[in-house]
Amino acid sequence: MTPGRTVQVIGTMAGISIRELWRLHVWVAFAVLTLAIALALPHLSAVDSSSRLKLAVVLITGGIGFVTTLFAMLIGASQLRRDLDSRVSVMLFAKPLPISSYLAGRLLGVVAALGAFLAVMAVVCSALLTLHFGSSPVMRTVAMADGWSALSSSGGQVPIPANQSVQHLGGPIGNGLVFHFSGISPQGVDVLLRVDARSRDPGVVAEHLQVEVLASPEPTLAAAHVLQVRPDSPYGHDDRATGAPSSRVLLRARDQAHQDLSLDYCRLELTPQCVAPDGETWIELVRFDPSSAMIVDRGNSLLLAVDGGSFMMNLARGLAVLLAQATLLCSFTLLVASVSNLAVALLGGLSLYFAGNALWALRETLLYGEPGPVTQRLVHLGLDILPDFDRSGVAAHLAAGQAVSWEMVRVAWTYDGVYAVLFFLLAWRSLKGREL
Amino acid sequence: MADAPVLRTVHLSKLYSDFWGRPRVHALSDLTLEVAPGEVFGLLGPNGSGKTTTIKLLLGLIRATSGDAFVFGQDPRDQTVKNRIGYLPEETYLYRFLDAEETLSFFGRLFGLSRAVIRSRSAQLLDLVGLTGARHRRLGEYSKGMARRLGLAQALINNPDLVVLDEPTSGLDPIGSAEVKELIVRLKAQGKTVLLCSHLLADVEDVCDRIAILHQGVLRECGTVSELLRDDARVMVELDHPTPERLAAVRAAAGDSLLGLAPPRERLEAHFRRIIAATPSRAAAASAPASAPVPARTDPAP
Repeated sequence: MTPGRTVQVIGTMAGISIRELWRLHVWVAFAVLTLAIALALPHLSAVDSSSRLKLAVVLITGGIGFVTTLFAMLIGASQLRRDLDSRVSVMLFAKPLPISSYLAGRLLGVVAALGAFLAVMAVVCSALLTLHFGSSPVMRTVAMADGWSALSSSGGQVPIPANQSVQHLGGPIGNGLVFHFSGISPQGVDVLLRVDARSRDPGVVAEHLQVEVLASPEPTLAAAHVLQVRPDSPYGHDDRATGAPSSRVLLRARDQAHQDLSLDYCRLELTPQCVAPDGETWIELVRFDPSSAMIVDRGNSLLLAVDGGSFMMNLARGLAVLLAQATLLCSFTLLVASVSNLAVALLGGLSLYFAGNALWALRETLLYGEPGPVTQRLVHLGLDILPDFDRSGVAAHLAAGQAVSWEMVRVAWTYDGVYAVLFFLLAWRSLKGREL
Repeated sequence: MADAPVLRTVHLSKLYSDFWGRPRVHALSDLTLEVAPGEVFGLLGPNGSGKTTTIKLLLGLIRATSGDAFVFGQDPRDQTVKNRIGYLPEETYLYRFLDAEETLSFFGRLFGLSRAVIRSRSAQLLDLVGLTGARHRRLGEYSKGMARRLGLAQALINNPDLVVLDEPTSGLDPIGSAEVKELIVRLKAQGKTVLLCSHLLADVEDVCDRIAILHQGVLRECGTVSELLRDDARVMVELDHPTPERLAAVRAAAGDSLLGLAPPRERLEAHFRRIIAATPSRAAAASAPASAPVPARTDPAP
């Protein structure tokens, strides 16, 4: 069979899958979900509008993820089982239809149908959010520093080892850190700053701390400019009663649990003169609070953020990540359905899904549980072979205002795609050995 | 040199085993036969005699335990061979959410036919099987007979060289059965090879050139219909316009060897078709006399 003919046959099978889903009114489930979201939005309760918006994003991504996962597990497997049990397969495989093309068509049909539903859901849910809240969440793409170094009170710089991710700054004021960024556009870049703080007095909780943030296009920091807090920053400019100079930024202590780009980060404007023509910049964070120590994380304390595009496009990319997981699950349930009945296929799919969402529990078992050697081996095996459905964290990502990049989509499809192909090959082998 | 056989089996056997590999049913044993191009070959046998197993082996749907099967000289699992085969299974397994046109289009695309070819063949075939008026109805609303007719149409969508029909008249009314038999004769006239599998002996007798009788998975007999049914110990005499004198002369000539002397009986199928053909349609009946005369017999059987 020529490649062109193979593609045609796969397309025919995918087409029949999609037609069946349409005729069975599967879209009604998504319509009901949309209606449920629309009805739930006015009843979400949170401390402020921003938190309600965040909650709405979690509700939307969670709801869509649940329905997509369920359908991915159910549709392909039920179509395969129906073909085998009702003996349509006898009619099909008497035609020039290779088993591999049949399976590929079924899988592609489910993925294409779900993809179309998800694209519609992205548009409709974005519109719902805009209608209800008056605006949709602002999305930002963030960049981490390439490197960092410690800055002493006397102005000397000491590089920090690459494997060190957290730095504690205490002692006399005037010390700090220098972050190096490259490949930065000079326009429209924000500096996002979020640090944790510890009071030097054990009886006092450190809530605020003063810092100064400067940026320079040169590593010597000779031409450094003081960065100003943006008017739309959630904090940083709100208290001048301390008598501090206007160049100071008053940070609120935010620990690792607070990573919402809209709510938890102080936003400062990176002016074009701070960025070198080759896109490099050095940002200096200087501590000016003698009463508390600052805890800075290299990965997420100081970030550069640019506009991440519309929420709708980010939601669509997030759903493309979910679709990769759905493809994996569909492929797995096709495998189980090729050897067993639909109930077992669904049970198998759910087991894999829940196991893949609970890998953190396995990791914690290894860290804190002190398991025996056999359990330890089994847990390691589980961690090695089970797909991690929690790795992308699309819902949390979108809720935190972080843009979902095409790179995330690519990584998700590469990671889940390997599993999907593996399960597909096993399903093909199983069907090939089966007598019709 | 004779044409190469379209179908050939050599010591073909099939043993069904259970999950643990223990032998369960010996469905077919040592089947060796050939079907020539253009032949209508009947596979006869009671239920469970191995007919469907033979067909599945010839279509590459199951693997032989031993022996070989060849279709057009090739392994039946070869996808190129399947391009030349039309298959109507024992039961019509079709997608209930499609209509007749969509079904034929779907199967046509599996054969790689162009849209134009599919369109024209679908129209012809739906007309042939009498489903033109129901072509946009979903198959879920079809009767068993209608589904069977559509099954027959899908078996011909690729204009196959070999048509495999497993119980093609099951679920059809006598008129439908007769039409199927006429179709088989027409396929033969077009030079196509037909493998007909049935336990309805009259169907097979009417249309097949050769038949094979299977029982308990073993080939019991194989040959032409006339060879197998010929009885040299008896002779049949047909008499036109029998008068008492002529009948008496026959009795006298035959003497003690006469087994019977009676008018020939029309076959029930022919009688039924004649009655149906003579009945006007409901629309025509509204403007016609209540009972139409039954036309005279035209095809009396001996």
